[in-house]
Amino acid sequence: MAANTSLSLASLDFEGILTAQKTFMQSQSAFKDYNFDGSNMRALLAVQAYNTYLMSFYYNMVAAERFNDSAQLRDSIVSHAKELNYLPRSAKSATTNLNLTFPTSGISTLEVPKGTQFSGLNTTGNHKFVTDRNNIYKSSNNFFAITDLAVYEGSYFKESYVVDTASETQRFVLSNKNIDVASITVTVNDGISNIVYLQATTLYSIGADSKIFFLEATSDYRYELKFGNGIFGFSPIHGAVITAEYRVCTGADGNGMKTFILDSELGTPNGGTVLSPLTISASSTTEGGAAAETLESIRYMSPRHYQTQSRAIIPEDYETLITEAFPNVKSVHVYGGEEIDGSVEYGRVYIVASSISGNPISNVDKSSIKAYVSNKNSLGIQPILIDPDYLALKLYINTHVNLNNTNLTIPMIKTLIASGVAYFNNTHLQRFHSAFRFSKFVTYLNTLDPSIISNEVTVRLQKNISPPLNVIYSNSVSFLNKILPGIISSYFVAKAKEWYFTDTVQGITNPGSNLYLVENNPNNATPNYTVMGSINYETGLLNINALEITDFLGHNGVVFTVIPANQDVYSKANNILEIDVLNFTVDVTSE
Amino acid sequence: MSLRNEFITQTSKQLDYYIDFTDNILKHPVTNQIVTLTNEEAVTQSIKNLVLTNQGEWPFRPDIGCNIRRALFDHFGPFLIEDLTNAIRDTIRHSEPRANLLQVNIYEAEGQNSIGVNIIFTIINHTQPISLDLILKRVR
Repeated sequence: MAANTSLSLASLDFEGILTAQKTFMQSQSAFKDYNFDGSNMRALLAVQAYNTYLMSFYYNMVAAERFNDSAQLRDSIVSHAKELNYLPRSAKSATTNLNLTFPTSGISTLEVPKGTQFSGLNTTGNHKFVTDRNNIYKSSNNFFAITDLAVYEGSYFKESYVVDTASETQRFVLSNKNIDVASITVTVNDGISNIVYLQATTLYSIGADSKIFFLEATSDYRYELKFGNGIFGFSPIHGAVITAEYRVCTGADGNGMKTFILDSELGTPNGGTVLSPLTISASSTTEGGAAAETLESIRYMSPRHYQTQSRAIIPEDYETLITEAFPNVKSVHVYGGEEIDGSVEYGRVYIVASSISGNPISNVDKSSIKAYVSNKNSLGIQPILIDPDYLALKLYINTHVNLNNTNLTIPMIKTLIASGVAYFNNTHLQRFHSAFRFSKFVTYLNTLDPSIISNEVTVRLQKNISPPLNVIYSNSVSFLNKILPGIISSYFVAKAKEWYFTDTVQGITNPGSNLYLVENNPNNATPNYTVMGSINYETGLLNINALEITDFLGHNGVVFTVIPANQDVYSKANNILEIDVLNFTVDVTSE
Repeated sequence: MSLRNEFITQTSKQLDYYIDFTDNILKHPVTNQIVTLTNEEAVTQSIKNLVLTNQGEWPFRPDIGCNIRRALFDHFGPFLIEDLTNAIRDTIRHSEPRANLLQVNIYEAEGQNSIGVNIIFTIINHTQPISLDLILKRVR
């Protein structure tokens, strides 16, 4: 029929395919009506083009989902991560430690069983917290004093499965979403006894009789239990009953609570004596709660997890492993002891971690991180966890606006700028190795509202040092950036007088790089001052001689404020750069 | 010497300007080729297809179609006649450049719960008018 056997399929959209088919039809004379909308030939070509378009679209999607880089569906990305032996991070319960006291009321031992429920309230609503193990307490002085009782946000659920070895397709999928996988316990009853199976993450040291299970992520935010095959791990026998118990939580919604009430009945309930707590207090606000790992995070982390091979050798390994296992950790900086200036410490690796909440990592989490990396790093290497150093940006913003271009009032524009600054801080800063790019920041502010004409931004750097009070102590403050003369500190008390640090005395800026201790006394005709350290303007380092400070006068320490030489500011080493979002000044000028 | 016209017989052969196949893609019983419709038949069938197509039925071409079946659920009257006439006229002008529409007649087929449509048109460059009759009837 057709002399021209070449059908171009260069374009894969509907119109392109239809046009190619019409061009193809021009080479024959048996049918001529392919150009007219009402003809049957045109209808046939349209159906073919539609089918071709549909198939090309379908194959495009299939091809996209086949690669980690281009997959769009969470299930596809989870599947790719599975090939790299990466277990996507689950939701995690917020936690805290409770301290409670109960009257004995004639009871000698008090059992606080697993699942004992407390509840608390925060801005996201009421949340339940439960204990994760059985605890038994003895009375002392007519009281039960319970300290550091760990409670976790969420509720426990149990699921049971009967093993059917005749079925080749039997799966043990945990049916709830938002499971904190750290809480999963698996028990197998083979008709004789209950055996607790432990979670395995590797094949090392696993034999045919090892009572282990593997955990795999599966579709729709769920997890699946996988048991051994009789070679690596014991395979439960036909008819055995598998029971999985786990905690379902709300993630980050459970953070930020400190007041609790006891919901469960403790003592000897069911007709006996129920004890009411005299006091309940939390040692700290609840923290550590986090949502399940996001799609982009899985895409990013899975190849890096494969790269580390679950071993912490180079700094990037530590950073990947810790970020992967601890969802409340926002950023990690790792350096070896041999990199410390002045006091080289071989055999140590320093881990500096910042939390998503902005607070320092809790001691519980530090211990967990240390234990976690200790199993994965080289022999003879001691991990040391330290808190990050915060380098604060103190901003003075003067915004010029034209109110004809907006419905907002000046207070509303101030609020808009404040929230914009907080967003910029969270998005671009608050990480290790970050940089404050002045021009990007100003450009960002200019785009917040059409009324904003321009922004004048003045940047100062602040750092807080907290030497122990009433102890003679020398210290140093490093701003890590080149600074200009004009250093000043907050007031503090030493030698029974009020003082501050500065490099400027009697209005004359010190060119000799001395740091002066100046008495804050307006009654002095001539200021009382003394040299108390040195300044390196090039490196931003202030060395402070030994001094006994007795009071910080309302601050958490001595706050140094300096002028950066450059408008772009960088964070290095264990420093986190962040805008002081609670104490920045915004003035709005209408033009 | 004989002349050329003495041994060549002159016959009239109409050119097939338009060639399409039938709605049900019939096969010719003798030649086993697909049955084709040509010229007037092809254009008539095309108009019939267009008028009986609802807008949105074609993939990626929501502009093709006439939407006259909706009239089966309306009260018959002069407004409906005007509405349908305009719809058919617009459809043919928009999608069938081969036809020159002369007249559209809408009438009620009383007692049959149906609407009759008579379309009279010519094919461009031809003068012979062609009449197409369609009956719109509810399926149930």
